[in-house]
Amino acid sequence: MATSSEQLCQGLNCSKPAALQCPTCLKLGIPNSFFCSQSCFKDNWGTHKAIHKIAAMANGPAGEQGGSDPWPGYKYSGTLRPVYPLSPRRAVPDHIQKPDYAETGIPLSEQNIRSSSVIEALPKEDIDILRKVCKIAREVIDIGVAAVKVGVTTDEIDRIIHEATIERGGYPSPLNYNGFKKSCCTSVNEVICHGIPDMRPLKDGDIVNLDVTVYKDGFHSDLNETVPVGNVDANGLRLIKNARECMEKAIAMVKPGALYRDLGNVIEKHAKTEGFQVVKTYCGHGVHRLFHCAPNIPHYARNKAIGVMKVGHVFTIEPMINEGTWKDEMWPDNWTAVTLDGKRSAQFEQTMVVTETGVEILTAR
Amino acid sequence: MKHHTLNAFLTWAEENNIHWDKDAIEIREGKHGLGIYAKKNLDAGYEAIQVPKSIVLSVESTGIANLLEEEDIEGYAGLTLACMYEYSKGDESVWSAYLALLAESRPQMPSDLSADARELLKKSEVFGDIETDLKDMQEDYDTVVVPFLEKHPEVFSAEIKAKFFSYEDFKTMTSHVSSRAMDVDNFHISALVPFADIVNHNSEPNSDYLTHEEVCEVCGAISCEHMDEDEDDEDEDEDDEAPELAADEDKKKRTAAKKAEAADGADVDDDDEDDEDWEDDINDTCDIILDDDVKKGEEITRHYGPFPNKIFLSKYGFAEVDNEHDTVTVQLEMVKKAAESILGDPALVEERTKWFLDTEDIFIGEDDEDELEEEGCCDGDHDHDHGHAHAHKHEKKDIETGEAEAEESESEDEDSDDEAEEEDFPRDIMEIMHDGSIDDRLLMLLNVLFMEKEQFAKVEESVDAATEYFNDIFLRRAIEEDLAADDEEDSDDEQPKPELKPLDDAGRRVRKNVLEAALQVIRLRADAYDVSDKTTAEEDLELLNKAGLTGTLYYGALCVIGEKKVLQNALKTYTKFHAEL
Repeated sequence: MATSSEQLCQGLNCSKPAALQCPTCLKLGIPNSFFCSQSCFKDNWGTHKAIHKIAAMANGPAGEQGGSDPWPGYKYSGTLRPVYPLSPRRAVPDHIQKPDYAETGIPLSEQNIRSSSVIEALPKEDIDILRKVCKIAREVIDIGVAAVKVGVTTDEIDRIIHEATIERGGYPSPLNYNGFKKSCCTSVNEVICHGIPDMRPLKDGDIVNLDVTVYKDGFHSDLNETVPVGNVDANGLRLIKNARECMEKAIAMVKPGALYRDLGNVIEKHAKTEGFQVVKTYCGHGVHRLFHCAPNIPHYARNKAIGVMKVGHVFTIEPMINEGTWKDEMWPDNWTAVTLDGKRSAQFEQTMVVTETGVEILTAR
Repeated sequence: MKHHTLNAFLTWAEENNIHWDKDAIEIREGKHGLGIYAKKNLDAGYEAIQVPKSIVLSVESTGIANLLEEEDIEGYAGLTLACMYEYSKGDESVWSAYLALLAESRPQMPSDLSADARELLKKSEVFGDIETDLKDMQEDYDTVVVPFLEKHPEVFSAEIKAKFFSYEDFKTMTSHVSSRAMDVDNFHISALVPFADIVNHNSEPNSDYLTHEEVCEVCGAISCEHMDEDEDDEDEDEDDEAPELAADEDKKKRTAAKKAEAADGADVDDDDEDDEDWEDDINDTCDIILDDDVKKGEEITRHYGPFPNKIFLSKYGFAEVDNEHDTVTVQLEMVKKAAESILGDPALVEERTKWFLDTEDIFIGEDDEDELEEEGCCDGDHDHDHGHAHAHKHEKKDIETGEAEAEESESEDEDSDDEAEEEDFPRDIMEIMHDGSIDDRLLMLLNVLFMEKEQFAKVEESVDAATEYFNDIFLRRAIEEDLAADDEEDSDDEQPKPELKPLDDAGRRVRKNVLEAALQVIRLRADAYDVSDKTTAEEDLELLNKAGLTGTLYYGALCVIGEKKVLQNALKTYTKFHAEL
């Protein structure tokens, strides 16, 4: 294959002629990201991918100045658009206990785990604390859900959730987690998860997922729900119902000795009964002293998750169910996950603990 | 082999993104059980098999990974337990089709022989290895497996235990694990690599096993937040590994198109068939790549490692005719006995031996780290011994000889940890190599035992003096080997040979004693294992072939003959040296 011009490989200590480009860079409009080969690209991936983040950060402010669409030229998979500028970062009073990443954005405690196969079993005392935090998280999401109506911006919902959390002495876990700018995730229509609350008013017929995590007394509690905005079509309601049922069916399987990898079989089977598909990129997770930790719980069938459930394991189940393809992509903000075909996605999530007899849903209403 | 089991395995392999070209290679029954065969002429460099690490079966990937981790069960026992568990899950297991294939192709192992049959192997060192394996297996079962099962009744019901976890079941799965496990990386460590593990061993292989060994020990990714603190992605799945480069036209056509489509946000078809492609993005692979051209119909083989027959037989269930890695071990006691009979001074023998054992590590230079790395990537299977034999490799290299020997002085350490191996090689075991030479440590020890009093005082006094002394010994040996090689065939790469001054009288005395002791040791070793002088190893082999023996006992006989050959070579070599003096 002939190399067209003077392009040289960007790999470390490599300056061979190169004709292949990083697909992410192409997408983000970063020029000259040439590599000589897949293997050279692979070797340099660890450092190269930082460029994407820098580009996304650079894109951010430009968009905030430029108005509604922060990434001109970006090809959206669906009709939803971000509406910038984002509101300023919300303050958290000093007396609120904060997780390690609140200042730096880096969850060091999560990165310092020594093994991904260790699943901590929490003693009763910890569960007692966690149960209280989960109750708060449930109150907070209910307040958020009650605020959902046509014309309300997701930023406004974020404010309500932020304040409800603070009032209860909690820290909104998403805030500055790996640099996330807001206090909850609001995922509208084709957004699968990790939507950033912005200035877009909810429209009649939208579906929106509110994902709330509260940190208090050393523990995180995580839950989410998808709700219709105004009049949602039958298919949208069917999707929401199915997503909830998928979660419930999976939760029903939880008991000591059950395999984490088996949950996805039940979820996918149920999603398929309605012709829906299950997202693969995002998973349920352990949640207690860390926001995200082992176990990792994929929601799709025939997954290879490790681990047997034991009394005291605390984790979420949060299937994301899509109207169309299970495939996802990410907006240039590096957070917002959307369906590749632009069709809608719904999700439900609870935090639960494995008990002697089965399961206790800690974030239950 | 039931046909449908193999077909089910192939379907499963495809579903799990194991990549091979059905028109290029096939799995079929051959002389050594299942093997991989070329269906057309293939070129060197051809990537015959790629197995994503997501489908590798290890203590990290099994459903009970967290339980094994909690109980700190790793190594062979851990992997065997993982496999037994997955097998007990039947169709529910991720690996069901693969394990079903294994179940129908159980290797013949010497540990399955009756005690009487094992007695027949007593003339080989493999006998001791097999007895040790059996003892270890029983011990692992009683002290590791049973308590583990007892501790987790919610996972292992009485019924499941009775059906799938008996000692016999453990023994069977240990055979599979021992004969199939491959070194994958520093996350999975030793694991079963479906499909790639069907490639059989050959002393003249035409392919090699390659994989990326340096991954994150926490999660197995090539690059992740656990290794790189600057990373701050929440869902690292997405970023774990580089996606396919855009406009990559030459190779990797299989999923590139689909991935590019996805990356471009272009039209994507949603059928379930490509569901699993997604996992490809975040996974590294274990590859079998052809080293040589392979003709249609030929078997694709690789080398399992430079092991002597006793290891091949005890771990894999086979042995080679005339294995150049065969060795015969010599116990320290034999060396001391020989030295005492020559010197008549047990106290001196004791003193010198102690000094040598206490001091020898100093002469194992740090320079051998390069060699360790070299070995690290030569081949995956089992664990190489990185012991003393490498110590003097660099010295030999300096004079451009003797590399082969240094590389081949493998002993039988089972530990996978390089550093541990450096520490832990058995001090009281030395070896006679296939070519009849004694290993570096034995050569050093013999010289220490017989050196003049004044010389020992010097060596004891100063490391430099000792190093110089040993260098001189190895240099002389290298030249001997060179001459021997020249005798056999005119070497075409004529290296300038360093000149050595001839030995003085003292040197000659030492050398005479060393050679006599070496001969005595070889004799003692032959007697200890009752090696008969009535026939040569070659004649024995002829008799064996005439006898038409097959299976484990045939391989066992190859072990006996191989060791006899080593001793024969050693006697010849040292008798010659002694005569020349």
